[in-house]
Amino acid sequence: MTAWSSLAVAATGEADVPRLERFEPRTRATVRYADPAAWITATAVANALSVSGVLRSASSHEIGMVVVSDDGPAASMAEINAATSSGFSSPLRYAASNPGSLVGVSCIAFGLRGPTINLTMLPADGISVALRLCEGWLNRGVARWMVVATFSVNRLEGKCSRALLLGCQNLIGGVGKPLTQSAADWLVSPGME
Amino acid sequence: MRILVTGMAWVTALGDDLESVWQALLAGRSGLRPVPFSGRLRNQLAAPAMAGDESPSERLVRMACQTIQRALQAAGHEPEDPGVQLVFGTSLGTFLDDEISRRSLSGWAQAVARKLGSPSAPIVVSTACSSGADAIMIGAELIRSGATKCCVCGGADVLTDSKRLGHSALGTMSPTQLRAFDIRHDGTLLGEGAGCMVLEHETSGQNVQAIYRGGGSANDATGMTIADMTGLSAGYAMRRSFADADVPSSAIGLINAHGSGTPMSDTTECAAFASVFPESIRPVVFATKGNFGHTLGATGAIEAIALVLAMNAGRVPPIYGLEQPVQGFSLPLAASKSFSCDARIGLSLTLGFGGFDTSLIFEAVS
Repeated sequence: MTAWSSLAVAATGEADVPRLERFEPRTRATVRYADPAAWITATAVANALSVSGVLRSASSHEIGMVVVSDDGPAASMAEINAATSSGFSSPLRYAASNPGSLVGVSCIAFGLRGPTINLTMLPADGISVALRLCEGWLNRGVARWMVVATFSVNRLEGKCSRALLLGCQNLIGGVGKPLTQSAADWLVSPGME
Repeated sequence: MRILVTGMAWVTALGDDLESVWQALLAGRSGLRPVPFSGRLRNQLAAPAMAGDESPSERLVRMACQTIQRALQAAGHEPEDPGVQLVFGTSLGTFLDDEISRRSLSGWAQAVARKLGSPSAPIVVSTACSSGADAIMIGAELIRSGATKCCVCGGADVLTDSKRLGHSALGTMSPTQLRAFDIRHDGTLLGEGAGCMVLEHETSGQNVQAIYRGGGSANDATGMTIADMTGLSAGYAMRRSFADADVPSSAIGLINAHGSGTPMSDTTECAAFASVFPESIRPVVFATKGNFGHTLGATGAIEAIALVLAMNAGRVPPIYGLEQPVQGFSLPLAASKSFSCDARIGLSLTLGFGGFDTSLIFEAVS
């Protein structure tokens, strides 16, 4: 039995490029600038949420999110590095260089006010921790739904984000399928199937 | 299940010994001082924690190793113990200044684990200024879930040119002084340091210094660097921590607030506290960023330690720089000098860029 045997997958989402047109103008105006890594992650989350329809049935404070990525917003970090050496810093790029922006942009886009964590780890190392956190929060009713997403940069496959929308099997009324090891593996191994 | 705090340690701009730094807090001392910077900043004041010629990356690892070793020693454990899980966080660490460090965002924590001889892979967190607090909350969740019986959890962060320049450009850096909850509040000032706690399952812990009662997290969902000034999400985080700790809001006697000194952060906390605590419940609020500077990824752990020390000592340190409290703050603020307090249960609140709001609740044991 896996440590997360009480969880069910309600929807999946995947993205390898940012699709800003998926987001409301209000979101783009609020964010102003985010690293491509954060937008790709938000695109994968958008795909999962749109499939599930949970945004129509659940309050946004009932939905939380955990991201696992060892890569983070690398492009914005490099831009800040280059600018600092010339004595300048862009406030927008500085905000975008926060590794937590991979969670933050999705929360802004969908109004998610549930519990959130950003694990800066290789998805293969961090996903079990992410799922344990989700299971604890879902089982105790802290959140009704949890999005768990990974973002990684693969030398061959490029950038990729994958997301699962999770709920508690006994609380979501038969929606979705039990979370299996292969579903967890799908999160951590883009391009490996 | 009770989760025990069996070891604590910190490195701060006021020193690295628990007792001497605690006395410095009670005396109202600040580690903020002019720190040279080659470019233009809103303010040269900062709170460095360690002298020496090390690079920021080396300093980050050294501060983390020192606090972990000392906290584990206090708890009667060794870093090499296979039963000890390392859970550590930073905000930006040296990712902006050191190209090698951003090739793998967990690399710095893996270096810490290697240096300490820790056999388990570290769990690594980056939730901006809530990183240290979130590491503690994650450690507690792992113990509850049965994944481990002992975690050493906390955060570390270093002063770097990029962070100083970034906060100066953002306008979050004070041009004067860090004055949390004062009518003259005009921004924060950066510091560096590390803090960590050893959390243990109730059946395995000795040398108990406090009980971790519970934690709560919520996202602001408002902006990249803008907080939800209605206090709604900070309120969610606190209410979730009450539920997790199984205590009513009336049980909270003391709060270590985020108290960053930015008007936005102060306004957010003011609104959140007013929404969570009715007029009849008035826990005392203190804050330590005027003493330590804003230590970013370390601040949540450092503030949790200060809260436990305050409850165990029965004294509250004054808020550095606070002379005239902002209007409308609904709770009593610790102003001017330290005073006695008999709170047994306290709360530490952190707010981070990216919307990360985290509330931790501890119970005193002494």
